[in-house]
Amino acid sequence: MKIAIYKFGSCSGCTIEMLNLSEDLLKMVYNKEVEVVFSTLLGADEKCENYDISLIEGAIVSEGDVATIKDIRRRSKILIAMGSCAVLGGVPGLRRFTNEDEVKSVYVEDYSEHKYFSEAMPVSRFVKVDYYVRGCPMNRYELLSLLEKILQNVWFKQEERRFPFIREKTLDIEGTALSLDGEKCITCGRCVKVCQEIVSAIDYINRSIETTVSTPFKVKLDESSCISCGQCTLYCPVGALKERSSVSEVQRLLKSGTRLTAYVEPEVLAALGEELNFDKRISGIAVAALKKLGFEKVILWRPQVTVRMQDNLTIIPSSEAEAIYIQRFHPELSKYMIEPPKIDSSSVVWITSCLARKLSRGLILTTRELIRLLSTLDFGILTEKSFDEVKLNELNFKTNKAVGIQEVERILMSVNDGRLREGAIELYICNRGCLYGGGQPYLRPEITMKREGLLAQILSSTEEEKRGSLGIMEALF
Amino acid sequence: MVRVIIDGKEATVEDGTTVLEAAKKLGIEIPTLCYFPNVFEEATCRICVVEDKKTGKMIPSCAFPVSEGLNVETNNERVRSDRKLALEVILAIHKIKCQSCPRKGGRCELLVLCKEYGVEGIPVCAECPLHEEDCLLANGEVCLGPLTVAGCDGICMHSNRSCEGCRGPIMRTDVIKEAVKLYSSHGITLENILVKLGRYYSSSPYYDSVVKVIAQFFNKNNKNEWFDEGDE
Amino acid sequence: MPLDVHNGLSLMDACCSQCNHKIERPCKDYITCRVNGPLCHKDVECKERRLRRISEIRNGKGGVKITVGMGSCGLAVGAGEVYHAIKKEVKQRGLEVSIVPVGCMGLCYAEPLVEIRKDGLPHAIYSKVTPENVGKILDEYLNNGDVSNAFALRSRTGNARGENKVPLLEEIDFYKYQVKWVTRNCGIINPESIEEYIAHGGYLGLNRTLKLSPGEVIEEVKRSGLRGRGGAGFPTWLKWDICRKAQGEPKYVICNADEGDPGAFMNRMLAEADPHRVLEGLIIAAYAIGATYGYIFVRAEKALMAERLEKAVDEARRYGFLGKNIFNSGFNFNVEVVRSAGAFVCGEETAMLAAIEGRRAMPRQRPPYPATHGLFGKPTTINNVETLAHVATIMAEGWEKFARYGTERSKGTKVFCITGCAKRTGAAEVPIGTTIRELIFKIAGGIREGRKFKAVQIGGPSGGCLPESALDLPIDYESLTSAGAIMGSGGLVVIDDSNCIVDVARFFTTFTMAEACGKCLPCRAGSKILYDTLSRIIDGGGLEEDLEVLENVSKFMKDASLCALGQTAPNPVLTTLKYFREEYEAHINEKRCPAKVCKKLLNYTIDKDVCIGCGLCAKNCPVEAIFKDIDGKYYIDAERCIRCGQCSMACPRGAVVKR
Repeated sequence: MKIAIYKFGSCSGCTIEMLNLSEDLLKMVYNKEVEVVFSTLLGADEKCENYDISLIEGAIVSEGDVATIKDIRRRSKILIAMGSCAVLGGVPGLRRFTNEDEVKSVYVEDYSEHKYFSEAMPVSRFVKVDYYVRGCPMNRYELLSLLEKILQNVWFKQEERRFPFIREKTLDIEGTALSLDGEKCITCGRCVKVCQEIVSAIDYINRSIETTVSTPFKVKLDESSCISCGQCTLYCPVGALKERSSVSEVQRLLKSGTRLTAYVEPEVLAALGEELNFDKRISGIAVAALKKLGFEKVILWRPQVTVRMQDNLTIIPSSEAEAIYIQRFHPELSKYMIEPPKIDSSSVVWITSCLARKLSRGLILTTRELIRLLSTLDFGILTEKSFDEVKLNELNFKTNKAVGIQEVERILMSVNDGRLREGAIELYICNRGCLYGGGQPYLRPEITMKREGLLAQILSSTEEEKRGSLGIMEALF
Repeated sequence: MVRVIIDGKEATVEDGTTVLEAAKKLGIEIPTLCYFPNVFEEATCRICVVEDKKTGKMIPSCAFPVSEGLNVETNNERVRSDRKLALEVILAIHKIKCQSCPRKGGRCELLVLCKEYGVEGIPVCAECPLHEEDCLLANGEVCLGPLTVAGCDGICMHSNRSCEGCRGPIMRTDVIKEAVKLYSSHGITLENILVKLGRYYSSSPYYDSVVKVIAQFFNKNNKNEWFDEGDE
Repeated sequence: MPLDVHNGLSLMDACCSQCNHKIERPCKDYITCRVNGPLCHKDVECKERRLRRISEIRNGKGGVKITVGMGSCGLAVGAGEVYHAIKKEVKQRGLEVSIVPVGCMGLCYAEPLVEIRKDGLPHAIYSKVTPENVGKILDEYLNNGDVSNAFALRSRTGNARGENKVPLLEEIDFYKYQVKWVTRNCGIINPESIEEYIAHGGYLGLNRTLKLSPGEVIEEVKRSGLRGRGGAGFPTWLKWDICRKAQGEPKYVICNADEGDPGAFMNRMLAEADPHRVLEGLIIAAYAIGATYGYIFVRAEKALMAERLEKAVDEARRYGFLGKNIFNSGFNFNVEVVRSAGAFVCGEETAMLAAIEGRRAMPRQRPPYPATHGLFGKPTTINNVETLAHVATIMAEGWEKFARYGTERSKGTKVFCITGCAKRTGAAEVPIGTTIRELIFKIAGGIREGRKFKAVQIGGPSGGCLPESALDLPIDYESLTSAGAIMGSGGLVVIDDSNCIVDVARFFTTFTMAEACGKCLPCRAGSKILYDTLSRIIDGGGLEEDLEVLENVSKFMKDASLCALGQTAPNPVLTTLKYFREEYEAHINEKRCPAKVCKKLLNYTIDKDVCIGCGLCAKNCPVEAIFKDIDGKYYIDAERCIRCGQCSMACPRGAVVKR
């Protein structure tokens, strides 16, 4: 493809940005896919009557420019406007807000000769523009992607979306730990499907454009069968279902210099590692990041419960979700249940993979919220630090673990049947455990696949290899 | 085993494999939105549609099992224009509230799709990594993010600088309305906005018309006239 | 609806104590025995009693039978009162005659219809009967043998007065072109009596079926060429065959009686007039595929239809047509009638399955198809009401008689409903391949009251609006698709020049928008966008790009919707854009409605040359928008005018001009 680069009222920044594509651009040139045949900046001037693609930088600022751009349009198959000047008018347009006489007094000679306009105009005002790349300077990767599409003949049309917001009535559902913003819901159905597997607290209501997700009779989540497990918030693709955020509160506390300790669960570290594409240094980097944010101490912690050794049955809910589940669906077993783990201190921020913990008192941050807090940090410049304390003690007696809703139901049924009469039962309601908790980062199929692969690896590794590790977290990286 | 042709490439896959999975084996990525393997495969968003060359019908690749001799195209004009329209329609039922969205800052799947298919109308807030208290508006800065077309990956905000609006404003009244609500709640006035807006978006009559709309909403806000009658 | 009981022995009962048949020990000749019996024992008197009974049913007590059309159409215009008036009159006169409620004959425009027959006189049909003129009719016919005021006669005997002045039923245009194949009993028999159905040849199809193998039954249906009458036109035999061969027990059959198209009542007419025929077809279908349980899924809004089907099922069960070892054939089958919760989308197969299973009625992606994975995951066949009626008739009469009609690829007859601006509206059964022109202009008599034909909407909201140029197209499963329409379930809505085509498109879009189930994006949001855009065009806010938006969104809905509701919803918009683009353009570019319907685009002005200054317009204006001018004539303030048209109606000289 023969490419011409033309410059009007601009700073050349966009052409330079294009050159910043370096290897990507050079590859195209070497493969003879593109050839820059005209550019004053690059010193290219082959006599070509017609171009395949003309890249236009700069705003139209004079009569001469108008004639030139029309001529270029005539001779080009495709015309692309690059950068704010060509697309919108850009910085040269500031002349509109200045005193024209002052400008004339400085540029007196050029002014009359070139018949400058009193404002800078976008290219589209005079000729048809096929594509545009916005930005000052333009986003060079957008240009690259555009050129690739043109070369591969992929259909591409840029357009501002044409429809206004068409829904008339929307419904918000509130809850203590999470909420549903009806205006953002696109009724994809993921949350309904996921909740059906667990407690069926939400479902579709209404028809047609009024279709939305709701609890029965539009009651608050806490009044429905919702147990705040948060699986729905994990799968919502548009953020309509989200946790009640404590990010602002923590940000304010940290900014005001409050001395806070972060209690971090292993699953949080594992998920963080996945998000930041790190290798095995994740623990050190995570501590460093938290300390950079302003936390005084960082403690690696598996939630502890106090259990009195008893002869009869003890049901240990791993969080408030399991506790509510039993109270609501198996109330007769409540008497065997102990309290879910909690931290009672106003100087502790509990960073957890479990959304239901938001129902307990204290400052709770889910993994997702932590990532939001950390999003401005540059992880490349952090040096690893170690945890102030590591409290990963296992319970000192054997327990029956039930992981996932099916297992939980099975084990509770066996209690009801009388088959299980003593011992301790740990309940984890999220399918496949806390690593897939409701507060974890948004999933993508690749992540689940990688996790499953690595978990299979762990399960097949020897006891020797498993011992001495920090559990799932290190094994994943 | 079943033989299928996807974008001209042949593959042999097991019975019951979906078109999406078969394409993946060939290295062809078909975009999806509502699909999640083993969790949700109901094909409600219709983003993953591809064209069945034999019947001429569009089929949802995430939920359609392959059959012998199936021949599909995943990226031709018809498929792309249908996907583009699907995105436009999704944005017509999804209120733009990016500034407070948990998915902002690189996790908005809608934005990724919109960039690929040329749909504009999501503001820079969707790309901004500054959440809640970190938001520059909360710190008294005049950030044009809520009004500006996304696509720069929030590069200025990554360096803690406010958006200057260099990519141009979004002309949709529902976006402008939300932006004005946001600005007003942080004490930012129309004048503050105009100072920045005119730097890149200076050309008349475009500038004048967008200013008119913004001013209208500021006016309504000042008089507390936010009647929810929908957008013009 | 009380059954008008014929006194004495019912055909369905055992004739005497010698009879072999019992419910616990069914007899395989039970059906033929009803009419030709007794077969299990020889008894001349029993036979005579049967024949007398049949004669009483067919000809009435003492040879006099009065039938009153009691379909929904008739009831809506007062047939119920007419029925009671007749009973009163008959009682007053001390007559011993049969008064039988029957279903709809299809002559809906002429209801209430009353037919009287007496031995020796021609059967006379009276139309638009009122309770007041019932006495007169009885006098004329029964006492004077005078049929001059009848609407039509079934035959001429030569003994009635005025006979030659009244047309024969088979001669009138509405009836002439029809072939009464499945609708043969409609308007003839009491739909709430299995006995009447049997006396008129009913259940002979089932009788024959039980003596064949399922494979042979499928072969017969295959030879007939019967295709599904619900709209999709899938070969019935093939659907049965796939289901028959599919793995899974138990298998189910479902009768789709969820007819939801506005203006369509083919199924309602059949099920209200001859429900046993439909049930017979369902039993035959179950036999063919090996199903043991069946459902009839009825729209709750069509209450009378649901009631008649429920009664039919009850009766059938009572006499052993349903249950275990039906007539000693080894075949078990039971049926349940399910009333839907009211959603058009339930007519879609997979949505119907969800509804029967107790879930929210939303379709699912296919494959797998219901034939292999249907109700509760088991192989299921779903057939339309009319299809099943055809099945019963084909098995009774033989496939050749069916295949005689129709076209090469679409055999047989189809019931069509003509509604809208036609002179004669109702239901007509014609061979497939009849042209649109024949249906509208010959059978329905053309457009009413001297207005002009504009368009016809075929196939309900899923179909398309076709203009005059398409009138000579034959109606079958294929021919209309290239024109942009489909035969669908057979409803035709005739549109004349007093309708605005953009308004018509919006009307159908309003329907599909309200009925979208909400599962998939294109349908639920796309139909709203179409509706909003069309509304804006109608209210005068139309923009140039709107036509492109309508076309793009329509194409998107057609391509990407999950089920046929969404895929066909944009058809009215697309076809009206294709054939009537100028009307759209007038609305958008000139802000004018050529049909003078869209209120916001109308301008009412007073022609001063005609105005006499009486001021009646101003007095009738509800918003005080009319004022007296200096010259004594009146004028309308366009800003205040709400286009209600009251002034136009009040003006004695017609001075108000609508533009």
